[in-house]
Amino acid sequence: MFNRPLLILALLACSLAPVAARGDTLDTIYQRGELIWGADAEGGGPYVYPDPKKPETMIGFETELAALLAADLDVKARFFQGPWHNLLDLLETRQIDVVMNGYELTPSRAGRFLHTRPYYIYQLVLLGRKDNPRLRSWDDVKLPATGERKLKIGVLEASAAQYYLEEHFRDTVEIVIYEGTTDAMREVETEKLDATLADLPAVVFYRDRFQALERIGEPVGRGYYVIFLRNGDERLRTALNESIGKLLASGKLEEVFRRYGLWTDLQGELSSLGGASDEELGVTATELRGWAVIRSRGWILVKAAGMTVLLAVVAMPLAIVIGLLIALLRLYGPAPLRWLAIVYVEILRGTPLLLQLYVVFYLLPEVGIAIPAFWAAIAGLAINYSAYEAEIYRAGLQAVPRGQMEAALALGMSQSQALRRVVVPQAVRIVVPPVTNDFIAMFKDTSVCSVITVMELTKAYSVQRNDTGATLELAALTALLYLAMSIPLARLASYLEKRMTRRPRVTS
Amino acid sequence: MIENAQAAVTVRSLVKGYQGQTILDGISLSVARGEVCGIVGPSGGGKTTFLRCLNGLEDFQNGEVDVAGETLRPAIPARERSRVLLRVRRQVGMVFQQFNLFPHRTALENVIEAPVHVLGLPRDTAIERARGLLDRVGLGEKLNHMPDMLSGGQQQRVAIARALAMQPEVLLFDEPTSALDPRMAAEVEAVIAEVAATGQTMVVVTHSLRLARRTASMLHVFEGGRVLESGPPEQVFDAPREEATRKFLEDAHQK
Repeated sequence: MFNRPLLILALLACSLAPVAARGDTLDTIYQRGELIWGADAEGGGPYVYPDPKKPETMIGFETELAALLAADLDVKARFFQGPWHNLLDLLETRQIDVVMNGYELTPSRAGRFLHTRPYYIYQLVLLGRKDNPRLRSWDDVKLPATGERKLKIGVLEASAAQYYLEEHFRDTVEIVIYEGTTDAMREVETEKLDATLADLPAVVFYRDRFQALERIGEPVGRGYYVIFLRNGDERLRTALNESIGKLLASGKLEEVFRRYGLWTDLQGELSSLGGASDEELGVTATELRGWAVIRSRGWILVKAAGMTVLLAVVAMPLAIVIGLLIALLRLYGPAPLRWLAIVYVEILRGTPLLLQLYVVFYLLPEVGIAIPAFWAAIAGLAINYSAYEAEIYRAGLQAVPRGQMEAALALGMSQSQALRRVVVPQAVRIVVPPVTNDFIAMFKDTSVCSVITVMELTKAYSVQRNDTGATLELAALTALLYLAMSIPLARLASYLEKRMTRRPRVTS
Repeated sequence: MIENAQAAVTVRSLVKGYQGQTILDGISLSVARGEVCGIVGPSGGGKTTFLRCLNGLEDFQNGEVDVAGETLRPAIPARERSRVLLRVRRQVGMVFQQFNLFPHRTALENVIEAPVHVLGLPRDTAIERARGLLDRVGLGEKLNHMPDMLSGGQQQRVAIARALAMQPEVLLFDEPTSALDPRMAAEVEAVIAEVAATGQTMVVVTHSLRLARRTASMLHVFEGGRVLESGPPEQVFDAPREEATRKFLEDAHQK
C-alpha cells in the first residue's frame, strides 16, 4: 500500500524541484534554438493567420515580428496555437516562452506577468452598420430613451475593448462577449448587434470582408500591445526589449506595419517608450487576490449563476414535453411519423450540443431566422435534451405493462385517451429519476451556451479569471455556486420521486 | 349452429393464424342473451384468443363476429375499424387474468374512470354507482385503497366492479381465477356466480371446472382451435359425447 503523506510529499518535491532548478527562459531558448511564441490564428488577421496562398503556413504582422525578434536572438521562431483568452495560462504552464498576440497592457496583467516595451500603440474602433440611424457617433452611445432597448455592442472576451466598455458604458449599453473578432462583426451585419468595438488592426484587416460596416466616430482608448513573459525571465525581457529597440531604430518594424496598413502617426511615439515605466504608460500594476477578488467580482458570478438557473429551468420543461411527444410518435404514431421521430432522435443524439448551438445561432440567421442569444440557447438545449428525454420516455412507456393499455381499450377508451389517462401517467412516475438526473446534467451543460455569447456562470468565471488571474478564488466560488444550485435540485428531485410514488392515506 | 335473433354474440367460421400456426380453425358459436357461456379445454386450445377476438383486442383472418349490434370482420378500413371497435367495447366488458387495475388510481377511481371519461357520466352519478358496485363485490370499505394495497382476490373483485360499471351487454372473463390461490379464487367465484345469477350475458374462459359448472348455462370445449363439444354443463361433464372430452376431463380432475 501507498503511504499517503509520503506520497504527497514526493509529488510535491517532484513538482517543486524543476522550479528551483529553472533558470531564465532565455537560456532554454538558446539551448533549443527556438523561441516559442503563443498566439491564436483563429480569426487572427492581421496578427497571425493562415496564408491564403499556402494555408499551412502562418503570416501576419506578429508572425513577421516574431521572426525578426528570433533572428535577432539567433534562433528560430516557432508559432504555438492556443485559444486567445487562455494564452496566459499556457505561458504559466511553460508550454510557450512568450505571449505575443495583440495582448494589451492592463493593470491586472501587469500585476501578474513581466512584459516588454510596447511594440504597437492600438486604438479601439467602433464598427457599426452603414444604414443604422440610431448609431452615427459616440454621442449616440448613451442610455436609451424610455421604451427603446439598450444598444448591443460586441467585444472579444478579455480584450481591452471589453474593459473599455465596462469602464465607461457599463450601465449604458449591453456588452456581448465573443470568442472571435469576426464573429462579432458578422453579428453586426446580421443585426444581432448594433456595433462591435475592436482593436484598430482587426478593423483594418477585415474591412473588405464586412462591407456593410463602417467606423463610427473617432478611435478611442489608446493603449499598448506588449509581449508577456513569466516572472523571473528578466534577462529574456532585456533581450527582447533591445531587439524591439533595434527594429524600431532600423525602421524594419515600421516597414512591417506599413505593409499591413497598420502604421499610424501615433506609432512614431513607440521609439520613445523604451524605458517607460508602467505608470508612464498609464497603467498601475495591480494584483487582485483573496477576499478582495470575491468582494469585487463575486456578485458578477452570482448574477451569471442566475442565468444558468434560468436557462435550465426554462429549457428542461420544454425538453420533457418535446421528448414525450417524440416518444409517443415513435411508439404509437403512423409509420412515416415514426420514422421521422427515429431520425430526429438519432441526429440529435449523434451530434454535439456545441454544433447544434452553432447551427441555431450562427447558421439560421443566414437563412433569415435571427434568434436572440438567450432564446437560441434555450432552443438548442431543449432540442438537444428532448432527444434524450424521448429515449427515457420510450423506455418508461414500454415499461408500463401491455395489460394496462388493453384494460383501457377494453373499457372503451380510444388509444389517445388510453395513453393520456392510463399509460403516460404511469410512465411519468417511472421516468422521474432519470429525468431529474438529466436536469442536473443540463445545469452543467448550460456552460456550453457561452459559445453563443450567453453570459452564464462558466463564461463569467472565465472572463473574471482572465481579468484578475485569481484562478483559485474564482474557481472555488464558481464550484460552490454550481453545488448551491445542483444540491437543492437533487433534494427536490428525491422529494418529487417520493411524492409521485407515495400511496395516499387510507381514509375509508 | 342455430342463428338466433336473440343472440348477444354470434361467431361465424372464425379463423386466426399467427406466424404460420393456426390458432382458431373455423369456430362458430353463438351466445344467447342472458346466457352464461363457459369455455373450457386444454391449454393452447385457443380459448383466450377466441375471447379477445370478441372485443377486438385480437384481429383475425377469416370469419365474422356479430356483437353489440356491430359486425367485426377482417377487412374493415382502418378508420371505420377504430369507430366500430369503440362502439363494441363500450358494450362489451372484460375481466383479465392479471386484473390490470390502474395502479395509479384508487379502487373507486378505477371503477369511475370509464363511466366518466368514456360515457361522460357526471362524476357524482358515477361515484354513486361505483359505491354500489364495490359494496356488491364486498369492497365497500376499501374505496380509497390503491390497488397494490389490495390482495389479488380483492383486486379482481374491483376489476369486476369496474367492468360492470359500464353496464355492458356482454361481459368477458379471461381466466378470472387462475392467478389466485384457492381461498381468493373462491371469493371471486362467488362474485362471478352472483353476477351470473342476475341474468348478465357472460362468456367465461376458465381452467376451473368448478367455476364452469357453477356458473355456465352452456359449455364449449375447445381443443386445437376447434369446438370439440358443446352442451349444457351437466351433459358435457357427466355424459361427454366425445372421447377427447372425456380425456380432457380426466386430466383436469387429476390436477
